[in-house]
Amino acid sequence: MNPLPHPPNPKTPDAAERRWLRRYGWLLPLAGIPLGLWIGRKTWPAVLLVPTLATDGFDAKGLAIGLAIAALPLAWLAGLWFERRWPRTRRWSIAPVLAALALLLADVALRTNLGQSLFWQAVLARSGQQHQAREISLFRLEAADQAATPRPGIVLAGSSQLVYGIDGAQLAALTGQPVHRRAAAGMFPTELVASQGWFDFHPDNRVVLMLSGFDLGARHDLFPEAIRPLATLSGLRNLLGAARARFLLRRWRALVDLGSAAACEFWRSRDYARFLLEHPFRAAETAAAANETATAEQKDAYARLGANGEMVALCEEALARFFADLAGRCREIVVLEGQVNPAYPGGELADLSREARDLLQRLHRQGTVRFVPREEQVLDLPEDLWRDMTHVGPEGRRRLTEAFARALAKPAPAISPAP
Amino acid sequence: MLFNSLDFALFFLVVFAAYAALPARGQNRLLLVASYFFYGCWDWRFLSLIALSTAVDFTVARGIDRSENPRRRKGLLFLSMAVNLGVLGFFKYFDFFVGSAEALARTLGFDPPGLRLGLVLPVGISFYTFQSMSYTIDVYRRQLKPTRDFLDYALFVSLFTQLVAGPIERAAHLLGQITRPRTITWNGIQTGTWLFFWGLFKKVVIGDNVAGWADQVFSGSVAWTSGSVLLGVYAFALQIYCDFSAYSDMARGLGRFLGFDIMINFRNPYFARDPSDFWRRWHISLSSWLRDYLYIPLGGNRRGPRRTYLNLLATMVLGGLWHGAAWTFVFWGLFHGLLLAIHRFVRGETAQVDPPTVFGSAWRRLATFHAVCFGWLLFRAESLRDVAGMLAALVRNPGWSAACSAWTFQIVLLSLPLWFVQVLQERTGDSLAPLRLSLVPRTLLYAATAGGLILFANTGSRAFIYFQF
Repeated sequence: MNPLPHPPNPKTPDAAERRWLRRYGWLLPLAGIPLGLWIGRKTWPAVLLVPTLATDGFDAKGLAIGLAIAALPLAWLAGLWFERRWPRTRRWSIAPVLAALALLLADVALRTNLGQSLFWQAVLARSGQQHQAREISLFRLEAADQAATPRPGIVLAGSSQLVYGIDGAQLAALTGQPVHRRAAAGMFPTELVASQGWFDFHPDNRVVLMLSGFDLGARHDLFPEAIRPLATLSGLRNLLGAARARFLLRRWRALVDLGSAAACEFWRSRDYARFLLEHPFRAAETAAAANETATAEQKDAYARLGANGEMVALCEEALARFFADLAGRCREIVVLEGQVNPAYPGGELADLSREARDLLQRLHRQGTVRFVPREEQVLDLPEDLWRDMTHVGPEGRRRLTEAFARALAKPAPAISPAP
Repeated sequence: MLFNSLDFALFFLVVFAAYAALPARGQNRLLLVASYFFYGCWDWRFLSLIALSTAVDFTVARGIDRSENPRRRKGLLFLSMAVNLGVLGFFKYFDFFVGSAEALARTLGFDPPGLRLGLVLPVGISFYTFQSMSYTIDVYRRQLKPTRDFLDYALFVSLFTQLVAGPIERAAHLLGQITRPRTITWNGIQTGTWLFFWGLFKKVVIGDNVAGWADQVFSGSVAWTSGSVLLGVYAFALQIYCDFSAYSDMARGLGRFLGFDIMINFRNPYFARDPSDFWRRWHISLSSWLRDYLYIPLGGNRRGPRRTYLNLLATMVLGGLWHGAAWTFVFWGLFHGLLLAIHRFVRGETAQVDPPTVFGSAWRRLATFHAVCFGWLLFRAESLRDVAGMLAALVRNPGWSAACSAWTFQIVLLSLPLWFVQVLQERTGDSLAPLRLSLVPRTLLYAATAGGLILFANTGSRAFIYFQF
């Protein structure tokens, strides 16, 4: 007997649904389980862009997907039954609430180790020549791995100076400790502070940073798109807590954006969800024009260094809050004073370097961080070891890594109070 | 202030909260202030143009109503037309016609002086001018009694929900709603929320994303092959529909919040079975405006077949020119005029009586869609030279790149909810059919819409295409 009698008006959506279920509903249980198993088998080859990847013929997750597809007509019928019995005035709000719950569950699923692995492995496989996509996906994959099985070690946090300046494997070999990379291009103080939640996964961590006047003045405004993929609630609290009300009021759109990113994994990862959408079948390629734009942006950044005093003050205050907060969540924070190519034109840099040093010395005296000034690093990086104004070449990278290892091996140096 | 911006969300929240707290008369005054503020956010200087159009048409309509002298009535109507079309013509078409004349003079060997003024086109001028003109014409035709309240009329012209990109409302429909007290209802909020967010989804998830490929193809930054051109035209067809119908949906949604019933402007146009059907579904407020105030006064189909075809061509050419001051728009209008004329010639004077078969219907829809797409090629191309180049590539340069595959994947994936909703609307004949779905499909649709907005919304704040018209 057909459980779905013909409704009086065949044109209503209700009638259309019943007609569809009557005609095609049986297809879902029939095709659901093979379809689920096929999805289960094809997921990792599709994620990694390796169609030939050998996968098991049967897996529990694929079966679960298949059963969910197969059960869809039953859930659908239950919904139709429910609609008839629930008062019309009340039932309109049920679907939005269920949809919100479904999204919440999906967000939670994306935060799990499996969700993170699937998502960021897919980004990594497609990153190709997109360096930022590669760095962020490596960052997030390591962070997901650490969240699943936290292991203490040296946490390297910072910008592209650190990404290209430190060899993680060499540093691990020199120090005998595991090295966890939490660095990405463009991770200047605002981005660094906002990402704090990724550094404090173990109380025995040694968080190591390299900061200079260049970092302090590199951002002339708040850039939500740079902060968004790594924003965390604890970090955002310190970043925004350091800003003045007027500054925040003027950037209220950025606050909404970053607040959403810190609270919702979907929003935080949205730039890379779009990246996956744009590169579904093969790795990204960077056009020559994009490289030229990047170079032009770099030159612009040099020219605007420290142009916004308000941002410099915000960075200083945010860093102070960040270090004070982080100090209670890890064993030690070591900050090495960074440097740039000796050929870098002077201008604002000297003042900014002085300000950065003053700040770090103050924090050192307070016992919040261990500051290693340049003169203590025993590090010679002449002009020819730099590939541009801020990034070292291969030999510079080796020397810088050794300097880091030496600094980490040494006990905390005493610094005389500034005059 | 774009509908798809946080600024607008804040603006609307403040306006809605104040609106809910005010009595009916105060609500209209609040909406008027809010509408002028909304428009002034683009360029406050152009508020004077809205005010001028409003003042002229309000005064003229009252004068026409009071007078029984046909010459005086006609003279007043002429004054209204002259002011409205004069302002529109000056800001929108002056540079175009002067530029075209200069080009012609240069072709003939003259050296004309540069007379172009480089005018900035006031946002939405074509919409509110047509809306205001329809009021005067309706009063002239004695189809409408003019309002005595200037501020109510000013609100009719400037209501922010549909001020800058339509629908082009008629006074008989909207002005009555303005003068009557309105109530905020749960039903209005529910349907308003759906319409607004569905419009937002169409705009920022589909329209703005597929625009990426359409822009690349039409700007010539990717090589023109049959695959890239075809996909580019499909992408633009989807973009312009999602962009424009999104604005109309959002306008309707905002209207529902405030207790207004804004007219439907689109009825699944890509399901049209013939060109005539397409224009009954696409930009309905403009096509019905052109029908009522241009095609029928020109004689419509009452003066024989030849005159009917001429009227169709003239109406559509002017409709094309309404969209913008460029020859591509003129040719687009001419193309649609020809389509309508050919369809009328083939069909004969009476509409087909036999219902088409499933395959016949599908074939007619497919053919109409592709004819419309050809029109979009004319509409979007930078120049007629580009049109020729793209058509040549379509025929002579076969090819399908990896980028085409990636964009096809993106276009199909993003537009899946759209097709689901459109098929449902088409089959039920109900634009709000998604709200009448049962629990499970409705939940899935809401989740897909919200998830799409969170993950894939293009937040680049791309303005609505029709703002430039």
